[in-house]
Amino acid sequence: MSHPARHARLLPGWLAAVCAVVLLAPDLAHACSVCPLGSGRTGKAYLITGLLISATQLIAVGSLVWWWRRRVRQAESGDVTDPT
Amino acid sequence: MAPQADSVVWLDGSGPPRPRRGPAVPHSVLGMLLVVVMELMMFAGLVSAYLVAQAANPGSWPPPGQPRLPIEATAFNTLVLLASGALVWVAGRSFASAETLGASGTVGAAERAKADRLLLIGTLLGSFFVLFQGFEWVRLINEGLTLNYSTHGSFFYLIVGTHALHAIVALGALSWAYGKLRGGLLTDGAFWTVRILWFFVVGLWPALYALVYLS
Repeated sequence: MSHPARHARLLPGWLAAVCAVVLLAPDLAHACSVCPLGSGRTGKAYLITGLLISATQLIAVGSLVWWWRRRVRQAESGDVTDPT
Repeated sequence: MAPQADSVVWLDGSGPPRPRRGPAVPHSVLGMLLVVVMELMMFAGLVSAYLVAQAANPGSWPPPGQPRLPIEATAFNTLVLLASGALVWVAGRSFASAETLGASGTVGAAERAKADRLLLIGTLLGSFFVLFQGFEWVRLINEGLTLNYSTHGSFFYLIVGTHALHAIVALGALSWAYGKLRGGLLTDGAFWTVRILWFFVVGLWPALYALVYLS
């Protein structure tokens, strides 16, 4: 007997179709009230700020996790001096 | 298979003594770092909104008739804030030296006194920064630049005001640390926690200054 999860879909078919339309043609969705303004200078600003926000969180959380793991390794080897 | 000796736990607590280690990172330090990450994202959101609004108003950012922002005076104030950050940094180094040497010795006591003095001066410089900003705000409001004057004015007060709010909270924390240091009750972890918040406030300001005042 096969496991039921093997046949489970991530999304129902109709919802997957809606998601595909929204992703491929975002103008149809108008999910963001200012998205229709996103052309020329404003469009470039959207792109830059989108990258800024994405990069900021990845770098901030990534740095924190990296530093914390380094501290744990130092603590395990008994080489801890101060919280930096 | 027999369990490893160091993984055995006796229910009556009579097992072999195991060294008890403190956390790799003090909980307060880790908590403050998480707060800083959250606050950083909030400022990233504000900066993003500012950049989009700026791009949507080419040629009128700031609006032509709007009172001029005090660029030179705020540049001086930025230097004051950076000096405050540097002093608090050195105070932290002196405090760590005093902790290592022991406050009872002559050198340790001197380091502790140095940390005490530098932290006080750093806190006073930070307070000067906030008061100076408040003074500039009053002047700008008297000149007609209010929150409702323009989109640029709204962003100016929102971004600079949010930073000032963080500076005030961080100054309260620095004052608390100073009181504890004077009483000999300040721990290294607590001092680091307070300093992280202050370094965030100090480190963020030059970027905000460049964005709001110079762009």
